[in-house]
Order: sequence, then structure tokens, then C-alpha cells
Amino acid sequence: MKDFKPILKTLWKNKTSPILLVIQIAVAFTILINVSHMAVNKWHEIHKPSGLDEANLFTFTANLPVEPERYKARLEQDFADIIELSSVENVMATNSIPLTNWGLGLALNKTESDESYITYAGIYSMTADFVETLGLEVILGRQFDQAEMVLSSADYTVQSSTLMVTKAIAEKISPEDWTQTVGKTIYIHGRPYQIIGVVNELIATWPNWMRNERSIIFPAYTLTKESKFMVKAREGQLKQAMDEVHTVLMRHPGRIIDKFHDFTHTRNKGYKPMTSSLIILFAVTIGLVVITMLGTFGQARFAILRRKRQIGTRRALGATKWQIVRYYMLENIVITSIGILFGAIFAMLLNVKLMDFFELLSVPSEYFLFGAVAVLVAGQFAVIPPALGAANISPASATRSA
Amino acid sequence: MLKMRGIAKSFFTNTLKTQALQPFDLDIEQGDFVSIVGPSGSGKTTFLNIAGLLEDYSEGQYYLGGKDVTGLSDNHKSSLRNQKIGFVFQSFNLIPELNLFDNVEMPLRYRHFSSKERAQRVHEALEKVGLAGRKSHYPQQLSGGQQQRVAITRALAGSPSLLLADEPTGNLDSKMADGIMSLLKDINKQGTSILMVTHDMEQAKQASRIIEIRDGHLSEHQVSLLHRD
Repeated sequence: MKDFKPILKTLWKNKTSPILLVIQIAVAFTILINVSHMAVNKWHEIHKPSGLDEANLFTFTANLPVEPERYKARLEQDFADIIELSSVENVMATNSIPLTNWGLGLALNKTESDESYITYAGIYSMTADFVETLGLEVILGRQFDQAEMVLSSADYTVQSSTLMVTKAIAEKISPEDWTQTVGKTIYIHGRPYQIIGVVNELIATWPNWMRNERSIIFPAYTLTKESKFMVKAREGQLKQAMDEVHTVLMRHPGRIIDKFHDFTHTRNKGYKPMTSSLIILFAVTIGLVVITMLGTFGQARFAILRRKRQIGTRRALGATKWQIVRYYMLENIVITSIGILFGAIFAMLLNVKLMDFFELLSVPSEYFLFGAVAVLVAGQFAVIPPALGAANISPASATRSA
Repeated sequence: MLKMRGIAKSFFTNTLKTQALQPFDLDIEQGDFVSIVGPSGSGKTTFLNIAGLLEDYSEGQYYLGGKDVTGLSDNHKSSLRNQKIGFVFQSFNLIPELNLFDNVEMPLRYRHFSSKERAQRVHEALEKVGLAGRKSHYPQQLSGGQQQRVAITRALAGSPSLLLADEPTGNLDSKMADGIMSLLKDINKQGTSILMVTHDMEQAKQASRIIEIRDGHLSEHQVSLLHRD
């Protein structure tokens, strides 16, 4: 650390080049911290559990090729035909399929008044056996009974008087103790619904909605000309089940089947835009680190070329090669640390703005710690080649008069 | 204190061998003041660089303070340079970003001196050349003669037994040059051996010995007693 004081004095006397590098590091650090925070948040979003037995599920839409008065019978017969297949474990119909970006969201209120807003929720209306088909985990209360699960042409919100909610919704309804949620009444458009059970997880239909763990399930299902099916295959028989279900449904004249996919495809398609932006964020992060390293490399190289005679003099006066390398490494640590300090301040200010714009959480302190270590290490890697070059400058030729 | 036996320096450019210094023997005793003279390109600076362990030689044995320095590692040579040899350059080679105190202190930082001891040595050294009052000044605030005095102070701060000076007055006017020569003679009187490369025969004659290098050959000339103090 004997070099510390001369390094500070030298930098103070020749400020321009170090200040430019400090600014570059500060800007890079600011962006790096916030971008990596956004990237990690996005990664968590993409890998958020859906609550579904995704490996064994497949989905499709199919019409009911009969007159409206026979919709119920036709749907029940389709269910019966499908469940009869040895490769299928369960089947159900739903108003919307998770992660497909198509569905309904409604505001939940504590009272009839819209002023008592609790949260916004993804709305599901499902037929019987949805818990078994989707692989949901009921963690509190009960499932819907047969009497509650109505199949009719009427609006499911009108036909239902009970609800199941996800744990995330329960925590919003009873923030002090979510286990007290069962039995409570909530209101949607002024209509009361009693909560009879809580499922651990059921992801809503919008992958990019940050609160998509908030879902509710109505027991009534509204019959329409087209139904969205979700089928659970027996373990290891997904492909066979998909083939057999397709074949059995297509026996009916006028049948149209569309969007026939396993759930892995649904998830990948749903998260594709987020995955793409995650890749861009990672590329930006790596690009920033590389640009910062190049800046450091360039500054160190420039400084060394400018100070070639000085380095030769130091060598002549007894500095070892390692002492020369150490000098430039320490100089880089000083510059980078100042850059990180300013970068950290800017990062916090930027984060406050980003929190407003993108509903981001504040950047945790470990990002600053890891970011600082990453920038310092990158700086050291960048400065080592020119520093080694400096150490190898021949003192005999560098000190020779021009 | 310095003994060279059969020292020679040659280098190759493509397949052509150039003999920069022909094999020579040389002894320099503690307290000698030796001038090295010769035309440009004759090998004076090469000789000085070899003596200062800045450049390797192709043949021979070199003993510095009784120790054979042939084949020493780079670190070991750096340490010897730092402790036993002081360098003075024609263009002073002071660090422009550092003030006089820090410039003189620089070689001491490569040794295991405490900061207090370093400060004391720097102060004493600057005191000797009459520049203690200007220790916070920067090199560019000084005249050429003063800068060279600082360079000499820097070379002496570590108490070396050998001072190597490459054209120390080459960038100075005659008045300043006289001052520097006078300072070097004072230093020599206090026991420091000096090897000085110069073009100026008048200055060369102020040394106790004169070595001429011509086309890589070393030869010693007797200095008339009339020219000595």
C-alpha cells in the first residue's frame, strides 16, 4: 500500500483520463445493477410455479357440434369418452387456460362498494375434477361439492355463490392471518361470494402480469359453442393420450379441434417474449462488463504509453516487475472504486425512478456487493495485460534520452 | 567495489552480429570518480547500463561489492540497483505528477523503510542540496539545474555506494553544469564512487580516472594531476 499516496497524487494531477474512466464505470455500474436486478426478477417470473402438473397436461379447444340445448349432454359425453381412454387420468373444461394470455380479470372487494378494493384477480370457471386434473393442492377448506358445480348457459358469475382462491389471494384478503380466509365473503361487482377453500398455487392466464399468482375459481361453468379442454395424461403417456383424445373427439361429424398442445409448449409460448427480453438483458449486462473492461484496458494502455519513461525510471531506481504491475492494479482499484461509489449513488436514484415506472422492488444490497466485486474483478483482468506490458518495459531503453 | 572480467556485449540483427563492447577488464574502487568519454554510438551508455544492471552482457563476470551478479534474477537485480546504485539521467527523469519530496522518496518506497525514516532521509537529502524549502514544488516549477539536483538527491537518498550519471550536465548551461559538477565532486569526496558518461572533456578531466570507449573498445587514460583538485 506504499504506492497508495503517490497514486492518488498522480491521479489528482492528471484528472481528465481517470475522470472519464470513473464516469464510464459509474454509468456502467448504474445500468449493471438495475439491469441485472430486472433480469433476475424476470428470471423469477419465468420460473414462477404454476401450481399445475405441467408434465402430464395438454390442452386444446374443441367445438360442441350440436344445438345449444344439447351442449351440456355433448360436453358430458366428450368427458366420458375421454376419461374412458386408458392413457387419460382426468379431463375438465375451463373458461381460460393458464399462461395463454386470454382470460378475464376482476376486482375483488371487501364490501359491495368498489371503494373497498382488495386486489385484482385472474378468473377461472372450471368443471368438476379440476383439482385432480390440474394437480392443484387444496391447503385449506374444501373443494366444491356436486351441488355447487353447475353446467349451464347462464353467466358463471351469476350462477356461483361460492369461490376458491389461491393462497396469494388469501394473503391479500386476510393479511394478518391468511388461514382465516375460509368462510369470509368477498364482493365482485357488488355480488357476494363465500370463500370455501384455498389452493396453494394456480397461475393466472397472463404470464407477464407480476401478480399472476392471484387467481380465483368459480364452481359454475358457462356452456358455449366452443370449450377449452385440459386433459391430464397418465404418467409417461402424454403423447399416446394426446393421439387418442384427438382421435376419439374427431369421430363426431363437424368437430373442429384447435390449439392442440402439451402444456410445456403452452408455457414456452406464453413466456417467449419474457425469455427474449431476458436474453437481451443478459446480453446488455455482458456487453456493459465487456465495454467497461475495454475502457479500463484502453485507459491503462494509454497511461502506460504516456508514462513509458517514468516506468523505466522506476525500474532503474529499483522497482521490481511485480511492483510495477501492482502499481497499475492498485491504480485501477482506486479508479474503479470511485466509479463504483458514484455508480452506487446513481443506481439507487435510478432504481427509485424504475420502481415508479415498472413496479420494481428496490434493489437488494447484495446486488451492490456482487456488482462491485464483478466490476473490480473485471477491471483487474482488464488492467493486467497492459500492466504486464509496463513491467516488461526495458529500463535501459526507456530512460535513454531522446 | 566494482570488478568486471572479460565483459563483452554483442547482439544480433537478423544474422548480423554487432559487437557493442569488446571484452574488457575493469576495476573500480570505493571512492573512484570515473569519467567515460567517447564519440556518440561508441558504447558508453551500453557500458553504463551494464554497470547499472539495466542491461545484460553477453560474456564475462561482473562483481558488484564482491558479489557475482552474473545470472541474477530480475528481482535480485532490482533490489541491488535500489540499494547499491544511484542513477542520474541527462533529462533528469523526474516524475512530473509528484512533488520534490515524493520524487526523492520514490526509490525509498521500494525498500523496507518506515514512513518516518523515509521522511527523515528525504528531508536530509534535500537539505544537502539546498532544496528542502521547496519540497512541495513540482519539477516543472524548477530550473534545469535544480531539477538535476533533485535527481541527484533522489539517487543518493538510499545511500548507494555507486552513482551512475549519464551525461548529467548534457541539458544544462555551463553555469548550471558547473554547479552540478561541484555537487558530484562533493558527493565523491564523501566516499560515493561515481561513473559519469560525458562528452565534455573539461568535465571528464575533473574525475580521478578517464575511460575512453571507441568502437566498443575500452581504454584508460591518465588524468594529469594538474586537472585534479
